[in-house]
Amino acid sequence: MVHRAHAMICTCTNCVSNGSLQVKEALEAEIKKQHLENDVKVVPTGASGLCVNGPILVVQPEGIFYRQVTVKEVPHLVEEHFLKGRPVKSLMYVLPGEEAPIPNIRDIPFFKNQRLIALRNRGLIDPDEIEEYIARDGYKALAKALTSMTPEEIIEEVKTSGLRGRGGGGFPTGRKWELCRASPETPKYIICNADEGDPGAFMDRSVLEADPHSIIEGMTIGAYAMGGTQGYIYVRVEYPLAIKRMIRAVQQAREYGLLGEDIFGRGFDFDLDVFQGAGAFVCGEETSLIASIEGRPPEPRMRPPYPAQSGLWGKPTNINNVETWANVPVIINWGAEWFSQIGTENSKGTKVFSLAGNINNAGLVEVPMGITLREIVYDIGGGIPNGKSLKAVQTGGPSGGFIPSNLLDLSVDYDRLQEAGAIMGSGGMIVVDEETCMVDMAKYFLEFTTSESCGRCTACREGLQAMYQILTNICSGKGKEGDIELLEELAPAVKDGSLCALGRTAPNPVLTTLRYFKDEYEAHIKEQRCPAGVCKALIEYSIDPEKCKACMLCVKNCPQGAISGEKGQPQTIDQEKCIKCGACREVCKFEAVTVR
Amino acid sequence: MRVMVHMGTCGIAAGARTVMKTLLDEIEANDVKDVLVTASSCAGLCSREPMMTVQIPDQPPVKYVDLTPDRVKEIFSRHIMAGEIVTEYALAQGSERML
Ligand SMILES: Cc1cc2nc3c(=O)[nH]c(=O)nc-3n(C[C@H](O)[C@H](O)[C@H](O)COP(=O)(O)O)c2cc1C
Ligand code: SF4
Ligand code: SF4
Ligand code: FES
Repeated sequence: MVHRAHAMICTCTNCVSNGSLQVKEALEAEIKKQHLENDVKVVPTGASGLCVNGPILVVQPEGIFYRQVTVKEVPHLVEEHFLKGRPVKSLMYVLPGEEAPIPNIRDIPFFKNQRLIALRNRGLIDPDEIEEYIARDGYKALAKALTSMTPEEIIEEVKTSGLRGRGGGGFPTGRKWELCRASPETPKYIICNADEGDPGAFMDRSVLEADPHSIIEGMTIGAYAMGGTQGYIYVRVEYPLAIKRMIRAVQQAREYGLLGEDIFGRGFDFDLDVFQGAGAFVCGEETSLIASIEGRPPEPRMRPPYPAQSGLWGKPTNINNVETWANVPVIINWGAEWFSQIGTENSKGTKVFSLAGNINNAGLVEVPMGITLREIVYDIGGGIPNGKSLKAVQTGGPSGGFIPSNLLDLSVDYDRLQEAGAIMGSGGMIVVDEETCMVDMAKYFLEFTTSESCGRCTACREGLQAMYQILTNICSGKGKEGDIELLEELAPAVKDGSLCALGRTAPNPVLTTLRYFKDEYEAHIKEQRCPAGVCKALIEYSIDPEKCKACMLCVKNCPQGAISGEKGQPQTIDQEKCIKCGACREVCKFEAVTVR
Repeated sequence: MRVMVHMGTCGIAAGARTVMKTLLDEIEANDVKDVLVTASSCAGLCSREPMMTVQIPDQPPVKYVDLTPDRVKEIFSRHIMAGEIVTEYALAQGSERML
């Protein structure tokens, strides 16, 4: 029977002498009286180390800590806590001289709406110690898979779970495994893609650093299911800590016989090596990654054949993303049915995002699929700093798009995001406020993809360059009538003429900003105006004489000496000298400096 | 008792190494033998790094945020040595929702 809650009552010598056995009996009786015996289980436990405060009662899973519980208080406690779900503050653990207990982590909005699967061990274990991973059910899934499941059953389980690739493409993982298993050639290779090239994204780095064994376990299960014998973890060289922890974890797993020959005595051999990648964005593309491991220049090639048929050294190869692998042991342990209850119809489980940009709580979050962007930005992210308003959310990095604030109730789901013109991507999420220029943002991403294009396809190499040039012109006040149409024409041409997804998705940031923020493009071109006040060529700083209090703060802060005026009189800016750094506006306490 | 310093790349960049060093120095200076100090990974809330978690057996773990060497010293003497949660720097107690 699955109980909703456990009431752990301490029955050590001290607690017993303080009456904990009587409290235990009273609890059981009261729980029965309220017909909660199927929901709440009373469990006797050992020393909590808080002798003076006994009897101690801990309620799980909330982790609420009661002290000095007496028989008299039990009916009230059971009714409030277990029946009505309201923990009894007066009985909570309060230290001497303290007013209120500090909140439970699950009441803090940043943590409350998260659900950890891939990051299940984050901040809880020492990633350098395999024992700590094992103590938290680590390698249990591998044991289960190897001793009680056939490879076909494992693949079926992964298929039914609905797990889709977390590296950006969202391809169903079980189907991919099935294709690789079906390939007759041997040996087969298993690869973990930890290239993580999206600017500003750090989800995969975090999983590697927090829980390297979860990836090893996932890959070993995958290898057994597909018939792989050798694996590679491709980590970008800019992640030294992740590489160090990963290498150590692989060594420990070998020492424990969890990698190597005859794992769990099942006659199954599998070993892993960490490969340090060159760190270019295009190296993350699977065929280019394979080329890079083979020692060739990292250029994508045509597919088919897919890596499942002909990958590393021409042999069947399966590549999955870090986060995808980290999900696998949980699916095996808890079952596909459990996993597929989390999320939406076509997007199961959770997704890790690195939340960045104009947001109060920047950080790493793991949320159930189906959560709305609004919940991520406002509940978890704590909203936009400095009282500004939200303009858009960018997902999918250079391959993704911008979602405007009026679509904030969109749910995080592969299909919904795609419909809006963005993508789930690998987990970069950038929040931008009203003072962000969307043309400038599009230009930023195009600058990135233009420089990261491997140059093989003309459409990608030249087309992106041309689009970038147009955006640069628009931002510097040289936009022309017809530029928007030209961008709209070039975008599909680049998409169609490109071999790999870098070129095929690179126009997305431009397309989504054109779709949702066309007025901003038009303001730049037709009115020579940057509505967000960002593009330097199109803005002018001036001082409002009505508001200026002549405090001279801006005069002191202007690096150009561009601000002058008589003492006690409103100041003025010399436009010839001004370099539009914005320092005066930042320092002015009276909002007298305006930008136009 | 166990103290975990959150040492992901983000934590280290925010000064987790100094936190770790201060803690180890305090422990050595006071000749404490029953506190296990380990590194752990990013706890997610990168904007409040450096962070550490103090885990007294069978009590909910307490997470501290925005640490400086002085704060670490204070937490050492008040919480680790005397069992009092330093509410000024504590973010929360308990653990996150898993699975
Ligand atoms: C330009 C480019 C960069 C990519 N970068 C990554 C990356 O950093 N990490 C990743 O897992 N997948 C990346 N991919 C996707 C991979 O090609 C591949 O689809 C993925 O690793 C498959 O794993 P999954 O099914 O688990 O998502 C990239 C694709 C392209 C076109
Ligand atoms: S689309 Fe771009 S990055 Fe991809 S192969 Fe062609 S030139 Fe290279
Ligand atoms: S924008 Fe910068 S350079 Fe121009 S007046 Fe203000 S402080 Fe001086
Ligand atoms: S008195 Fe119960 S834990 Fe010591």
